Amino acid sequence: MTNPHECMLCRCEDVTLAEFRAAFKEGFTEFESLKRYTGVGTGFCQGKGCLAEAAVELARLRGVAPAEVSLTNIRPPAATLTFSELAALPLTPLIGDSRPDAGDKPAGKEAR
Amino acid sequence: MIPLRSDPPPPTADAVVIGGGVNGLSTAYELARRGLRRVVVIEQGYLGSGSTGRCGGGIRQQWTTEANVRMAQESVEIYEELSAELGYQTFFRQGGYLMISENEADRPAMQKAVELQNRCGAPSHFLEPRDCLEIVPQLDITRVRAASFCPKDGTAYPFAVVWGYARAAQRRGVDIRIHTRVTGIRAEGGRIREVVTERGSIATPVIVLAAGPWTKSLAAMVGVQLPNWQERHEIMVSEGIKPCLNPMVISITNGIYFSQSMRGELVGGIGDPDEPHWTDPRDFDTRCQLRFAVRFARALTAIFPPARPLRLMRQWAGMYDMTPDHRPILGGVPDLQGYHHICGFSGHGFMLAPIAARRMAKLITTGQPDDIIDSLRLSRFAEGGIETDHFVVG
Repeated sequence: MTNPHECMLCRCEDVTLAEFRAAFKEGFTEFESLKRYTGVGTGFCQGKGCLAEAAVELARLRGVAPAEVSLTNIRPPAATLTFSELAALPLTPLIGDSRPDAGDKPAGKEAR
Repeated sequence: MIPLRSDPPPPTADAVVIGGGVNGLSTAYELARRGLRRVVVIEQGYLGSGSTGRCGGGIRQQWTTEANVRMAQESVEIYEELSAELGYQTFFRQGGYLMISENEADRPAMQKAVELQNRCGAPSHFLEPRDCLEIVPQLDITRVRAASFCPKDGTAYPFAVVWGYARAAQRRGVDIRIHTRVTGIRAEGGRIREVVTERGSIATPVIVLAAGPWTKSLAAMVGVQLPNWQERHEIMVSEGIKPCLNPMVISITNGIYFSQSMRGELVGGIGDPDEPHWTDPRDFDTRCQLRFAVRFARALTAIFPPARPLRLMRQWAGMYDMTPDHRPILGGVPDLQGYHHICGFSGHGFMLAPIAARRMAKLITTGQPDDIIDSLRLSRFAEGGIETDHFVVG
């Protein structure tokens, strides 16, 4: 089996499998806290390359099926944009604001 | 950290703190430090899952009211030693805060604020726009009309502060319950008697409500009417780049603030005056908005041009617990013994928590009056003559 000290769980943030397990042992037993403690899933790929692996490992540590592990909130943007690109976009209204003058155009699909 | 539990809480306690964010955990830690033996913290989610974990981590002493300046200054003194005190790395770093204004008319107010800050012992100073370039050379000062800088302001990592306080509190015997919701608080004969949770009740003579935006609804359970309202505020991180920005930059004109984390990311937000005021937790909506990303990007690229080719990597939202004068509400209420609240920080609970908690714990355990807590009592709103802090931005 791979040495957990050499096995990269999150390549963007340099989190090894051993570090993830150590964090669990320290008391960070849920994904939201593990993410913030180890940095797993917070790098350039925003978890696209590691969340599934990490969830499987967390399920193993907790002795439950992977489907029973709640993942962290997936946050926008789905694909990164530069600040220049964002600054050039029209201003959308606030969520729930239906006033005709609330933004430059009708609201896009709301993201959680 | 001792693994956190969600099983039924103990049936009795000396004090129950509701809220597992920076204010609740620091209060629990300070209460235990003052010798209270059975302190229980009840948190509805995970530690820091409310406002603390959403915040930008800024710690500044540049305010316009004496209570805020003094509290912030005392908080900085605690933050300077906090990693050592808690035995936990909080990533506190004093890169300073550069406050800028694009209005000529703000110059006298900023000069007056600096005088007040200096009188209270905070080493801030007033700057002409060109002087900003010595602190942040990449700044576009074309529209800057006035600025002030305090080199002792800084940032810390909010979750690390939360975990550090939690661990230190646990070492002193504090019992922390996560994923446990408070469903009721019982008072009788003018005294606090019991906190009811979804997993069982705790008989206690003392409660501390430290639940940020949820405090108002908890206080209402025992008939205490807080004037607070809650607002959504959004924040983001960029991709990481090499260290290039030492202080937090904040504009009192459009409310943008940004700093660079130790991981190299820019972390920043901007207030939106059109956000609604909420008072019912059922209305709280922390979805992210493209509108924020666009407003932030416009303001950032204008004041800090090197950010133009950088990518926004992640954004999120949290709640401010606002008060009519933008200052916290601390202490208790006259006719309900054992009741305390530590709330209404109006977006600045992270920076003020260490000292608010220390002073509250002293008041709770000794009963000795505290001049700052007294000036931030709830009844000030009914008494009139409130003094608003004008530097609440972001």
